[in-house]
Amino acid sequence: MIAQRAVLRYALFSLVIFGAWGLSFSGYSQTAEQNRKMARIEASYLTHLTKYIQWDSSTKKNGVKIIIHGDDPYKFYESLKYAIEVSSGGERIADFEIMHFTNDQTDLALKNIKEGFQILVLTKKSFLTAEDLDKIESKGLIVVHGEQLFDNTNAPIAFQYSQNRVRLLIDRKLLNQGGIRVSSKLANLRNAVSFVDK
Amino acid sequence: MIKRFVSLGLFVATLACPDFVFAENLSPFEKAELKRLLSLEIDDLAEQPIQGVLGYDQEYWRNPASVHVIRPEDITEHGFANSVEALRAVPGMHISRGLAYDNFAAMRNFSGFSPQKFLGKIGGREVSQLMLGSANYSVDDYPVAVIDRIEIIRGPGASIWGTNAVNGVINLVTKHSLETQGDSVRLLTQDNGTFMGDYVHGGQISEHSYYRFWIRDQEYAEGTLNSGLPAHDDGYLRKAGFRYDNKLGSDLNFYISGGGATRRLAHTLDLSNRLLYDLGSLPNSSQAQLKALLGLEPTSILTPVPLSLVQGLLLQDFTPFATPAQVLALLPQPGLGTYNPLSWAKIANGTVPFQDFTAVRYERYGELTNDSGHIVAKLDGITDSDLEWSVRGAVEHTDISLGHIGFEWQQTQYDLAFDANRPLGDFHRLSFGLAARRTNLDIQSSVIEPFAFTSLVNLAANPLLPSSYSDSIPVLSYDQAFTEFDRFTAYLQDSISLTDTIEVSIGSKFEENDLAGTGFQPGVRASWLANDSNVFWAGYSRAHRQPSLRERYTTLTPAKVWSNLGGGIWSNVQFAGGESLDREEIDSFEIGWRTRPDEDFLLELSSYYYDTKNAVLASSENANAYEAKDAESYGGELSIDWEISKIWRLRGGYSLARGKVEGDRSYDFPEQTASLTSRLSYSDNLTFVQSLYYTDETQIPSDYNPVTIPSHLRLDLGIVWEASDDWEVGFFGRDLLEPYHIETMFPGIDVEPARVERTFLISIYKKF
Repeated sequence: MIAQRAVLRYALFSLVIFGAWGLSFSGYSQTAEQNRKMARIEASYLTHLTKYIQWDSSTKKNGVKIIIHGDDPYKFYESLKYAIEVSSGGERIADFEIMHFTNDQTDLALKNIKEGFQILVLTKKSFLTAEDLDKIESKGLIVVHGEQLFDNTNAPIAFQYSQNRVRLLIDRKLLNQGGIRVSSKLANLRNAVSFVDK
Repeated sequence: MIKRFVSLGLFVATLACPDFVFAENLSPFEKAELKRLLSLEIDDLAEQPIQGVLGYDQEYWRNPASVHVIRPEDITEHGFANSVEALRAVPGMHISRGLAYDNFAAMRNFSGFSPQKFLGKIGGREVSQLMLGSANYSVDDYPVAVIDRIEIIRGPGASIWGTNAVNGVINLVTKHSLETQGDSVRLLTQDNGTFMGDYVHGGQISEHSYYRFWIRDQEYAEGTLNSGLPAHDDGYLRKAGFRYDNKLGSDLNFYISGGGATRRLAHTLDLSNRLLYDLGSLPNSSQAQLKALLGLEPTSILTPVPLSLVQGLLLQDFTPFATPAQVLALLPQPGLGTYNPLSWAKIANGTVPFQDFTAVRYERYGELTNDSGHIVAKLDGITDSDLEWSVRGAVEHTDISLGHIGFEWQQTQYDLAFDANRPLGDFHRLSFGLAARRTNLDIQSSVIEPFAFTSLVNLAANPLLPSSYSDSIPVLSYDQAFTEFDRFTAYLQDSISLTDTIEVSIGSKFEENDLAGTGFQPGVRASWLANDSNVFWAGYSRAHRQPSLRERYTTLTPAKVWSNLGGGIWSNVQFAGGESLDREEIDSFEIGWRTRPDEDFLLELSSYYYDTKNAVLASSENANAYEAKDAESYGGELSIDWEISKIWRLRGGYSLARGKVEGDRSYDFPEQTASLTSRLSYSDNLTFVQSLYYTDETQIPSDYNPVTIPSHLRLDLGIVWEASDDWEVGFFGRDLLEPYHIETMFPGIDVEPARVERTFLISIYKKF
């Protein structure tokens, strides 16, 4: 009797395992939660980076303009806005102007980019191409996603996803060419940054 | 019971679960997570896994388990010397202080004492001693400057954690050497003279290699027993350790760490009740006269009483009923040749109450020593196919002597473990591992004074067998046939993103263990993100606990009884361990609810039901020290974390725990505990911390001297002044509501509980 109950218990347990296993392979298209987690980490990176950058007096006076381009289902824009707000107790947000344009608003985005920016971030879903980025004449920090866009553009910084982690790719030469002065502390980071000469 | 448990879960789910749509704005959980990420150094962001293994990342809000994380500031802001003291504020945990500055930790269950039923991992090592089935968290502690966090996972987590993770896991994680560069000092001194000081230094060797070393000294002032007598537990604990980290390649890390500790303290063994006179062995006529003399019912049964009490009766004035000579005729005394009254007289120390009389108090002091050393090395990396792996080896040697009872053991353990996890498609992350452990023991027992005299081995078993005489019975002896133990384990677990709102982990551990046998320990856990601010989780786990060596292979001889039979003989009172004690098997069912109405307020509710087979418990009915019984326990915990404003934070917890052993309520774990901590920042550099802890009454089982520990309320107040970015000075008052209370005692070979007294202390901390 006891043996029968034990067999039944393990049979039920096995059923649950295989049922869940089978269900997990069907139906769902994206690991949205992982993408949202990446967006939060990227927003945190960027918030830290704004502290490493030595802004010129004009920027300090007028504020840092951050433009985010691309559809944003994973809430990068919201995350960045909140992260900058929190990072200095809600006061620092006044020093930042954060604008978000979806792919449908690309023309408007390009217009704003042309007017000048300090940081331009392309979301994972941005339609802007390497050619579009090459046409940008305004000086500022361009942050893209992935090695491909990083290698083929003048963007000095990219978010790199590999080995289940998010890290930063930085081309120091391009960074300096863009007139961005970055604290030397950035060079001492152990894990977060890979320095690349494109 | 299960039906009631499930109904409660469904009720709570119904209350808090509107239809779910992912909001465009950040949810309170996401905001709180962002706050946490921002508190990390930029380098640490690169350590955050995107696809997690359920059960590894304890701070992940969708973790399907009841988890509490303690940070270093939770230790320093309360002036705790040892990190285990910070566990008092964890709902579901019962931390108690006994004699000789030992803190005992128990979790959720009817395991109120030292055979703790959870897994203790400190700095990557499993620290449980096989002999007692428990860890000494003072000896194995680290300076707070090197502690990254302490994770407390309540409930079985067998598929990843393995054997002994029955009620949960305590996992103390230390920092990478890079994070401890420079110098750190911490000094703590109490008004009674107890002192602790530690120093940590870290440096860089090459571009990618870092080191640190540390030393620590704790000097203990003498405490006081509950009776007011001195506890003779003054002494010291001195420790040192190191860690070396090297980044061998872009995806390959190595560290080696080690440490050593030496502790010298004394224990006081109460002998008053260990030399007994069996009044039931007197002739019936004498028993009848004695009952009349003592005013007892003629039908009452006379039980063994302390010999000193019987000797005291000779001096009592029973006039007009009897003279001393008449009492002496009724109660013939043991002959001088059968034991040495002088050796007992030497350790007489005042009197103790015994029912309506007083008896002479006997005490024996013995040194409790603990010398230990360990080395841990770990190599970890990640491949291009996202396989994260680690290989860990450890060697640990411990030499512990319980001088007050003449028992010493040396334990050497060798560990080798491989752990890995990798993605399997987009929705699965597979974690798996193998581990082997060998334990060697060298155990010595000696007969201590004043027990070295002839006596029968066991009167109950051999009442009149002269061949069973012995004059060398130690208080605690060990079966030397069992000194080497091996354990092999393997586990496999899959973390599955079933949908965007449901995550599941399924796995099992397989184990071949000399102490716990062969078996599978499966577990399944799931969490459901019901909406932006509510997460529900549930879990089922089966876990095993190996009996401790003390429970299986020791024989306790705590007392000797003088019997008037056959002209008078001494016999031993013995409680043998149970070699046939099987492993404990626990089926656990848990549900939980985590809600964050906004990013500044977190409420967690968890509830559990445990069904335990072969629970090892102190025996109350037969000659064995322990017996296996079926038991069940159930309860729940509530915790809140509320950042009321930028300057004021409240954290609180409440726990209800009930245990039943074969239907009868068990009271060795407090039924209710509660805590409330307020942290008020008066200014940028001045913080007030107030803590209130409540612990219900507990009953410590003992074959010899069961003790009821009354409920107690503890108030701690502290003020912390940050003199600069690096320096912190704290003033603390502890247990302010009463001069003292008692919290625990050792059962079996029991020692009188020590007072936990009101104390005041000052701390100076220079951070990295």
